[in-house]
Amino acid sequence: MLTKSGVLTAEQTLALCQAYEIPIAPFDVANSPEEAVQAADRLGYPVALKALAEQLLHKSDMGGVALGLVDATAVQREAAAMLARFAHPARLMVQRMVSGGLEVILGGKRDRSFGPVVMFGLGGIYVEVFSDVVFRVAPLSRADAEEMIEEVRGKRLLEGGRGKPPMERETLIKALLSLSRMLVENPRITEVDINPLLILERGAAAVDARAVVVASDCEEQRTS
Amino acid sequence: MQRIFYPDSIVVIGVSERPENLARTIVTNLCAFGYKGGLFAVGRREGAVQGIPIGTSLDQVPDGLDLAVILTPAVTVPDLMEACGRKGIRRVVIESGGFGEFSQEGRRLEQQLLEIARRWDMRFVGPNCISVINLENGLCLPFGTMSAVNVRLGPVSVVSQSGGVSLTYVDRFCMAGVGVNKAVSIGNKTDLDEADYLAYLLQDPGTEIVCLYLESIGDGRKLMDLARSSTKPIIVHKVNRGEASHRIALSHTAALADDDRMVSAAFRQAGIFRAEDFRESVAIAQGLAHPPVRRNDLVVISRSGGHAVIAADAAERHGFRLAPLPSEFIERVRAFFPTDVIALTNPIDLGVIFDFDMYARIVEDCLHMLSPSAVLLINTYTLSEAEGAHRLARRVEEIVRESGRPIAFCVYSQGDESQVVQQHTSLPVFAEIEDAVRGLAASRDWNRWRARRADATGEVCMHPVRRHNGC
Repeated sequence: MLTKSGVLTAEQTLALCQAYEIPIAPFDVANSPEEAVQAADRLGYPVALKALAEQLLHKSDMGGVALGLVDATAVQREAAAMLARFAHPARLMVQRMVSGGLEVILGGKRDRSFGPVVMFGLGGIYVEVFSDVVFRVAPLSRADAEEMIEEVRGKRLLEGGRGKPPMERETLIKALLSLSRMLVENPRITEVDINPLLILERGAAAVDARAVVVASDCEEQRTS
Repeated sequence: MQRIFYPDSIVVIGVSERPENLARTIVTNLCAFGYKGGLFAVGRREGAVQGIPIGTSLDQVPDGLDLAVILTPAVTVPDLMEACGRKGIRRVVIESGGFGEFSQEGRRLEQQLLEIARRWDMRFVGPNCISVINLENGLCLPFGTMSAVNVRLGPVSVVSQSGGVSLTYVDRFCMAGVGVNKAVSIGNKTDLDEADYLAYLLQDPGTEIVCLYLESIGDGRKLMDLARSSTKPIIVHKVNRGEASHRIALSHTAALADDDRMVSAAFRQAGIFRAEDFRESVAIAQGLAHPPVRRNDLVVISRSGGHAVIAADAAERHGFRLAPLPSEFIERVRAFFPTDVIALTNPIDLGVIFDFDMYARIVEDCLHMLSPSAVLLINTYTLSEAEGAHRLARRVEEIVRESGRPIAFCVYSQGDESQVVQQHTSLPVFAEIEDAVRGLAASRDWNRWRARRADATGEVCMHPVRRHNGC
């Protein structure tokens, strides 16, 4: 998977997450509308369809995402349309829809002075409008991960309230530690976003993710 | 490093008798600060400075001197370095400017310096710096005329990416009742960089707190590793916040990860104090120079009710708890009041007590009966009351020494009285409530950090800052 530089697809990045025991929303890959329907039947409805392309950074803006498809007819229709829209490459991700939960973003990058760093923030407007995110230098200790969660301004959202149960903090801590390990063990990953990771009442599910890799070890980016 | 900070013999190169000669000032400073080692001067013309003859060639000084200090035009420095190498001088301070910070040609000269240093197994400070001060042995190498009047030996050593800033820090730490041990301005850090100096100072017995002024961070990981294993608190005044890595971000993470945020996060992780300005660095050092603050509860004792309210706000901002006073303590303190017009709460408003000696007794009772983690004593007075206020300052110092408990003493008076009162005590006196609470918080956080690290590594936790008594 990590052989050349570029942007990894959601499929590749989620597989990487899974390899590091970061829970993901179950998915399958289809090359035709028929395969998409088979996959959806297997995964269970409703499902989401996502076009898979290495350089497709804003797939939802380009009609590369269809959410909440409730039956085979809908999957067949959307898959055909999407494959027609993106002639190349002709691959689709069929993903089981995960509902509820709290959207958070986990990320990583390599800082030129500090090397691999891990980011945590609340998803949606909290990250986009308020930049409510926290960084730590990897490798993270458990105490670092706990502190990150304590440090976001919107941390009360994690504590439940307003009719919502508290989120399972342990899942989040484990995911942060796993991401830290992924960055430390794979020096060629220069950037990674897991966005969103849905924190559920029990467990979590990464729904979308992307990573940027370089061809050779990027350790030299750190000035010494 | 040891030979740079503790040379037994020094040759200053570039000296002349002309009053405006900068290398001559270095010789003058060494004499003014009482440097006792062998001192030699070399220049283009014969003469004498401070009774020291100026030789016209390095051949005229003995072989194997500990340190050479060079302040000559940049283009002449490589040959002089080479000559030092031949003379067996292995440590050099290069103060001259006109190197990489100035031109392409200067950058080439710096490369030459590195090659010469490697060839002769030499290490050098600078170039383009005002270099090194060590108050333990009177080593004072800046090329500006220095006054020894207000300097005070103490626990803080300074590493600065700017010469001017290093001198400001020396003055501020001395005036704040803390005192300085060593200071180095690192210039272009062609050979030795901030991490080298930090590593040395962390094992230097005279240094108990290190304060760094940095405009850029080379190897952040090395800095973190040094801090993580340090038994001494490290304060970093990091500026140049706009400095950007100018790389196109493909992810949210990279877009949000500006360098300054990373610096704050990394410092927090490594237990490094990040100071916003001179004042905060000094307040942190003042706090750390007190006995350790171990927990979160604070008693504020103030002569002015308004100052007490300001202090309560500051305490809350810095995470301190103002615990209510137990009734037996209230009864005890009430006995000191001539009239019963003030409700006794924490903060304690001393209001109608005019006898400063009573303040000291209330502080002592407070320590005995309440055992708070820290006391903040705020004295507000006019110059006509200065005598009693100075007596109180001396008494507070005694109480701190006897009890081993932190009392942040904060003074509001008239004119330069907050400086004057500092001359009556070796306890650092705070000039602002905010600074006092910041200082106490720093001490608390340092102990908390040490405890957390001890938990993780099984290390024994001890407060490292022992008290100096000035000089």
